[in-house]
This record gives sequence, structure tokens and C-alpha cells, in this order.
Amino acid sequence: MRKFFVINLLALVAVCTFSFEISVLGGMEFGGKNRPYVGVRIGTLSSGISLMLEGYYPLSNIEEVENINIEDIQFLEVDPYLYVGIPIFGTLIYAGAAPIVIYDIKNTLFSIYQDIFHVKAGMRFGKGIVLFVEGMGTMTTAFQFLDTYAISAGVGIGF
Amino acid sequence: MRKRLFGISIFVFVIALLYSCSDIPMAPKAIPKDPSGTTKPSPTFYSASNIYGSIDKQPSLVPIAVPDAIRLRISLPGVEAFSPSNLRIFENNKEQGFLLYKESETRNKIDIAIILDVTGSMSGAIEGAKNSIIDFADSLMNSGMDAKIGVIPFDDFVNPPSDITVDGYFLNLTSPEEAQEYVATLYAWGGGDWYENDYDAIMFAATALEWRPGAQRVMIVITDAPAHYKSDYSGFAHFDKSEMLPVLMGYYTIHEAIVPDYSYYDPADTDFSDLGDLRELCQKTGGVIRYTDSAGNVNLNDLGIVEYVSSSWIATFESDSPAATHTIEVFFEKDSVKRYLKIESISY
Repeated sequence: MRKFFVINLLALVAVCTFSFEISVLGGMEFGGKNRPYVGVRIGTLSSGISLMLEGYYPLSNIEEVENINIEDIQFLEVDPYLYVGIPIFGTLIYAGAAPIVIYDIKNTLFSIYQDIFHVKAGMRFGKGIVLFVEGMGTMTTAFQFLDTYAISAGVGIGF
Repeated sequence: MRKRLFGISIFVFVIALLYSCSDIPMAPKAIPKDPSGTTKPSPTFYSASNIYGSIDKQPSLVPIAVPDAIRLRISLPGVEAFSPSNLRIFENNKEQGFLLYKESETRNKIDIAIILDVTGSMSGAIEGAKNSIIDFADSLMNSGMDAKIGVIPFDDFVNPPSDITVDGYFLNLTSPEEAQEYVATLYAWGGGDWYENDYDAIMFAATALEWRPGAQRVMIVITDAPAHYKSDYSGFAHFDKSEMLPVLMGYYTIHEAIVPDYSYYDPADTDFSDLGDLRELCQKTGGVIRYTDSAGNVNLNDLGIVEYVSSSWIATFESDSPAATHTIEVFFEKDSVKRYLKIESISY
């Protein structure tokens, strides 16, 4: 029920704004476990203030991409980002932050990390078909960066 | 603009909703950097008793761009409070920077499986368990824990035991009151050969009970018998210890109340490697081994488990070692108390 409620609210948020984007992405951590990861994002990324719900699934190695079994996934990282975007010559420069939420699929539990959050900056190119690259880091609530970073690239559709 | 503000309001509401659902047991703040230029103290001057430890492997997802922290559970019975400066942790001889959390403050649910030998010699233990379950649970709750208790009776068989008739082959995790009522229906009888099937009972508890997500998972094995094992070819047990340890280590803490039998369970023993000696499971999962009196009287409150839980800490550190297995050493020093723990050949 909670899941249904949250999904509906997020859909409502999306409908409330005119621009909309859905994308898939892949990336790599630098530091920590140096994991590759895949993800999806959906939301309203545009100039000004916008919102994106982003889901990430880390892998143990790149070869695992071909063998992902959806039914075996127990945890997902689901981050609701708040972005600020500035359009420059057809490219959107954006930066944002999100709390880190872990979704335990098996037990239908959400968990939120209370002392750290993600920050991100990136560039998005194109209209209709969009491409983007972005860098992600993690900060403590004392605004100190952790030593691990990640770089993502992705493609999606915007309308 | 109004739509944007509406959207942002809903966004804030969703965050608040998620926050209210939050159940993260340990928030990983920035882990301090490893000290450099330090030397490891000599364990000679430390006591190896009253300190227990294991690597906590309860499943979790390390978020993207967050360092992977190793969670080391350390229990120091009798020590209610201390600061990180009282503790030094070495991974493969290299000192680690770490964060310290009191486990009961971040993970206050505890699920306890009482795995009870119900053969003829165990009447004192059954009576003692029945009489002390409520006080035991109250003690846990008084220390801030939300406790559920399950019971697995066993002899040479489990689910159900073969020598007694039980109403309910086992009791899933439930309230202490229901656990007390269930134990009151058990009685001691039979047994056959000297060995019993402790190992199947432990694995049954691990796989059949409905352990709560995020709860501390504890088993208390009460027996006076060594364990049947798969390679004894008796046909009773389905597991050897080597198969059990990967399933148990890091996920469960196994405490044992053993009625001493000096021909097998001698309290002076330090080598628990015999295939039927279940004390090795306890040792490797970081649990407490307690010996009852010779009559087998058991009082759950006297096993030190409440003290164990209330003095249990989680130290998180970042592993520097690419090795497959690791040696962790912990040095604790506060006032005149000096304790030393060494955990060898562990994998993360």
C-alpha cells in the first residue's frame, strides 16, 4: 500500500510539470568497491527547479550486466533528486542533491540514510532523444565529501 | 510557477514519508582515516576472556559512491559505555580508523531462537527455560530491546522430535508469553544414542523461522550432548560444520548453554574442532559458551546474554586489504580492564 501511495504521488508530481524525461544510465564508481552500476531515472529535468526519481542497482562486475535476473534483486537504491538547471546553448547544465533511500524489495521496506546524501552535477544534450553525463559524490550532513565518486552516462527520451 | 511549488511540496512530503518509514540501522557517517605510524600492542598484556566478536553480514545495499564499510560486532559484557579511544582495531596488522555505534541503539529488534534438547536428561533445562523466559525477555525489553522468541525442540530429529509428542513441532518467533506456554508443553524423554541432532535443529532455525528484517538474530542452544554430523553416517544429520558456518557466520550469533559432561564437554577445553563439538559454531559466530551445573539447571538470565546484547557495539571500518580472508584483532583498554580479541580467516 505504501509503495502504491508513493508511486502515485510521484506520478502526480510528474504530471504537474510539463517537461518529462525517462532515461537509462550506466556508470562506474571510483573508490570504495569500484562497482559498475545501472539505473533508470524518471522526472521533470528542465531549466529552473526540477525533480527526478532515480533508481540504481550496483553490480559486482561489468559482465554481470548480461546476467541480471530481476527476480534476484533484493535491494535498490532509489534517490529522489531536487535539481537546479541552467540552459546554455541548447545544453542543460544541472546540479542537485538527494537523500539516499534503499528499497528492500523482498520485505517492502524503505530505509533512508540519515547522515549522508548524494550530490550530483551534469550536462544534458538534445531534445526528444537526450544524452547526459554526470558526476556524483556523497556528502555528510557536515558537508564533507566521502572519498568515493561515480560517473554516469545515459540516454533517454524527453518530451 | 504554482505547479512547480505544488510539485516541490509533494516532493518534500514524500521525503518526510520515507523518512518516517526509515529503518537504517547504522548510518555511515564519514569513517575516520586510518592512523599511520602506529604499532600493534602485544596481546600478552590483555585478557582474551569477556570479549566476543564477529563480522556482521546482514544483507544490505551499499549505495553508489559510498565506501563499503565492514561492520564488526564487538561485545564487551560488563562494559556499559566507552569511547572510541578505548578501542584499537587492526586488519591484517594494519590499524583501522573506525566509527562506533552501540548496537541496541541502532538495531533494537532482537529475535531469539531457543534450540532445546528434549532428551531424557534435559528435564532441569526445560523447567529452567520455562521459568526464566519471561524474566529474560523483560530484561531484554528493559534494556530497550523489542524481543521475539521462537523454540525448536530436538532429539535425534527435528520438526518434529521423535521421542516426545508435541503440540506444534516448533514455535515460530512470537511473544515471550507464548514461548513460555509452548516450553511448558515440552518434556524430557528418550534420546537413544549419546549424540543428538543439534546441527539440523540450528539449520532448521536459520531457514524456517520468520526472522524480522533488521533484527539481531540470536540462537541459544541448550544441550548436554555432542552433535550428530553428516559425515558420521548415522543418517540423522544433514550437515557438517563446514557447511553450516558460511550460512551462520555474520548472520546469526549462537550462544550455548551446555550441561557439562567431562568425557566430551569439558569446560577446560579450548579446542572445539571435533566434528560433533558445537562449541565451534558458538566461537565462530561470536557467541557466549556457558556451562550449567551438573544437574542441567538453566536460567536464561544467568547466561550473560542480556549483558552481551546490552554491551554489543558495531565498529565500522573500510577494508584496505584485497586478500580473500582476513585477520581482525581488537584491543580494548579502559581503566584497568584490558581485553583482546582475534578473529582469523574471516571473509567479508
